Amino acid sequence: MSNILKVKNLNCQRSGKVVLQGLNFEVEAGKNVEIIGSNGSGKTTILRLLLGFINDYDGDIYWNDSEVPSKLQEKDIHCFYQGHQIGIKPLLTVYENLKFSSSGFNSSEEEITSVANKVGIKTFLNRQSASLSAGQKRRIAIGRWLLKDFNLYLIDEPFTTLDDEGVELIKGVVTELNNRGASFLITGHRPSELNSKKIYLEVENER
Amino acid sequence: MKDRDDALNWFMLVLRRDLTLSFRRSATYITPLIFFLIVVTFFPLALGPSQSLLSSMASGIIWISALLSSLLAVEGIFSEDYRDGTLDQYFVSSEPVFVLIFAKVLCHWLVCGAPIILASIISSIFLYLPSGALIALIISLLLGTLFMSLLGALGAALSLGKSAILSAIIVLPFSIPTLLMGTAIMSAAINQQDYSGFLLIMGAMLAIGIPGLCLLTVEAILLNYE
Repeated sequence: MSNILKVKNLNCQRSGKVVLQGLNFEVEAGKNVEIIGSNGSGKTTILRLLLGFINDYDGDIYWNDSEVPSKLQEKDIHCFYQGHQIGIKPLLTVYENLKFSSSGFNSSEEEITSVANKVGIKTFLNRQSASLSAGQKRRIAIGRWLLKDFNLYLIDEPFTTLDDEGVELIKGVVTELNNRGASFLITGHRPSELNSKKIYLEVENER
Repeated sequence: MKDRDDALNWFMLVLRRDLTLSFRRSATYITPLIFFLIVVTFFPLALGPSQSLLSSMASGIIWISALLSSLLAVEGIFSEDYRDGTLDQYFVSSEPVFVLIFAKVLCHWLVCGAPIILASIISSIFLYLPSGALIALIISLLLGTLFMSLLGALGAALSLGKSAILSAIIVLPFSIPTLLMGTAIMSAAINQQDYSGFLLIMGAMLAIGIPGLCLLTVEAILLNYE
């Protein structure tokens, strides 16, 4: 199985504090990796570092089975990133929040409706997002994953504010996207029931 | 060809999205417009109704008011998208970031700059601006306010997550060449001289500013991520 991402001996300091130390992991195409740790353990830092938002680190990152370390932007890899803030605009309708996203701009109305149906938000497609609950807004964010095919999804704490039904929805969507060849790198405070390789991070003061 | 169509779709999407958000949040376009009209109205009140005095100062008053007003809403170009994670998603997408920035700048100009140009036509009447200079005023403000939106975007990108007034402070010193060119065009027009040279210089500033300032804005945003 080919690796879409391989991280070797990753070290990172932020404001003089060690955030990551000697981190190694691989993400195979069509598989999932979960990074688990408590607050401040460096989960978000890993994602932002992989995306090229943080450049001050030691170690090597290899994309797409390459033998030469490189930046994500140098490779033809389509990534989707969802941070803690999920980018749902309260003044836009659910439909507009899907359409005006980086994954939905080339999608037709039928495709958006179909995705909305799949994630359980079809009934309020034309409702302003301000009136939705946090969990319902999360469902819009999950709908965005399905609007375009990406190679790798980097998702920061996707299970936050979701009920059991929402958690099951994520499991279903992740499996569907895995079957299409996409990989997931997910962070969380505790291990989920997702079929994934788990990596546990230590809290900074334990290092 | 597909890439060009994708880039155009991307540009139209960002523009439509930002325009929709701006018109649903009326303060975005009403505040600069009201500010402009209030500042312009203060001058006849403070200087008196002397036609010759107001007429001689009209172009300067309109230009300074337009520059200050167009800077009022620059902080909002990126701040909300930065706070709610939208900017992260846009930057990670494989769509061109330059196109994203230009669409956001154009939206700011359409929402803030264009209404100010319309208001300047009204204010030129009660400031006794010679009617022969009106076309020069409109064209110079058209170029000048768009350039200010570009500069404003750079200031907003440099001050992301910081005080809103900071972006205006960063931008104001760099607006001096625009102000000088704008008032030079107006002086030439009032004195019935040829002002096409000044217009060409402003056009050239804009032609360099669109790619140059948009690219600098991209780099400034990435600096905030570090």
